[in-house]
Amino acid sequence: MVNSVQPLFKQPWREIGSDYSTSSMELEYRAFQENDWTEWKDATGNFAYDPSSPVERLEQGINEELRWQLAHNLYSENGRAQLQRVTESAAFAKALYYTMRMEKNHSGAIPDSVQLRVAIQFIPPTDQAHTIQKTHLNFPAYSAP
Amino acid sequence: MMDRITNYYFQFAEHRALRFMPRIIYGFLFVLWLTTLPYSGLMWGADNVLFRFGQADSLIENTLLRLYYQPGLFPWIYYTHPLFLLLSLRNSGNSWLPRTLGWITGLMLYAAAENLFGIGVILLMQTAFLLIPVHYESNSNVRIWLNSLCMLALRIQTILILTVIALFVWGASQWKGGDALYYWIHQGYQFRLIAGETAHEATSVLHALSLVGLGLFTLMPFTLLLRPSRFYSTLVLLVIGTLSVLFLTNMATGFAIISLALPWIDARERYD
Repeated sequence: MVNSVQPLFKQPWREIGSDYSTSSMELEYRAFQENDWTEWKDATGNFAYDPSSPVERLEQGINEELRWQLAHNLYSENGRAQLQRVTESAAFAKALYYTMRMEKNHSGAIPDSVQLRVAIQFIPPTDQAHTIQKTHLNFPAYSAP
Repeated sequence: MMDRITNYYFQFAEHRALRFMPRIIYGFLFVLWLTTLPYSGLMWGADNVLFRFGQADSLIENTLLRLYYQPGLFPWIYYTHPLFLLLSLRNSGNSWLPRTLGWITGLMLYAAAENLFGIGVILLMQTAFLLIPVHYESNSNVRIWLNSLCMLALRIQTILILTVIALFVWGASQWKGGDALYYWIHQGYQFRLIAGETAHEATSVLHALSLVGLGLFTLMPFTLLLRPSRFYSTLVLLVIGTLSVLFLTNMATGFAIISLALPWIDARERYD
């Protein structure tokens, strides 16, 4: 019974008052079209949605799940980053689906292949110089079935 | 002693907040619905951009997740939801029916796009649930009992949430260290006005404001319960809520903060 009513009374307070992220993240992608890869594009901004729009919040929700995956499932072996646990996660599937469906909804067709990457901007600690440090993490390309 | 407790309980039925709260809360939900209109197809339609998978365990969960599994239901749920909300604004004996339907359709919509409004809408939905049976100035004894119960539950909800927020801010290192607002304003998508570089670099001001916030969060459960400071506490909640509605991209957060203050506002308050 308790399990049955949980979704009705999911408590909001656990997320209020917790620590904020020390980085900001954007989801980017490129598509394989006409035998070549396009430029990297923002998964939401590319379709003229404002950063303050509800659509950006949907993307940030996916980014938050990807951030969790990267924090817990990204590891290194023989000096190389191992991404397979992240790419097998539901968060990565959501990110792929989001970018491909956004392409379909706005340009009319699902691209043959897409490659995702996350652009992570680290927020400098308050006691250090306010310099912007940005990095990109590329995921393997995905071919649509 | 029992008489005093009984009188105290039933006095809540006359609380004036019960008159305006359903209008404000269901009105807030209607405004949130309006903000989704240009994007509704992307979120809930057959060509939505959100990956659906999995299967929940229970009957209630699966019933509420119908829209999640079957986007074809989208027009039925999405366009009836605001009608139920508008009917819920009335203070009448049968308002419980549109309020229940508005609440259920709301849960179906938000469960199918849960990142859309986040925690704010969860709190608003809980408040909307507690307001379902409210019929202000009804002569029915059952209604008077239910009105009192709703008012008491709404106040307990506010105190519980503020208490847990107070506990969590003390468990979070950024609030204790005075860095919380600094890191928060760097999440640009959350703000209507992107905080400029000057704001980012005003670390000492943000540090001081974070510590003021820590103090407010800590004191709020107590100051709201104590009568002499109650007026100022509700005022602080209303100001924070209004500023959040104005400056945050997610209006549900501000609406939820305002909903915490509403059960404590009564021009005719005379409880002993």
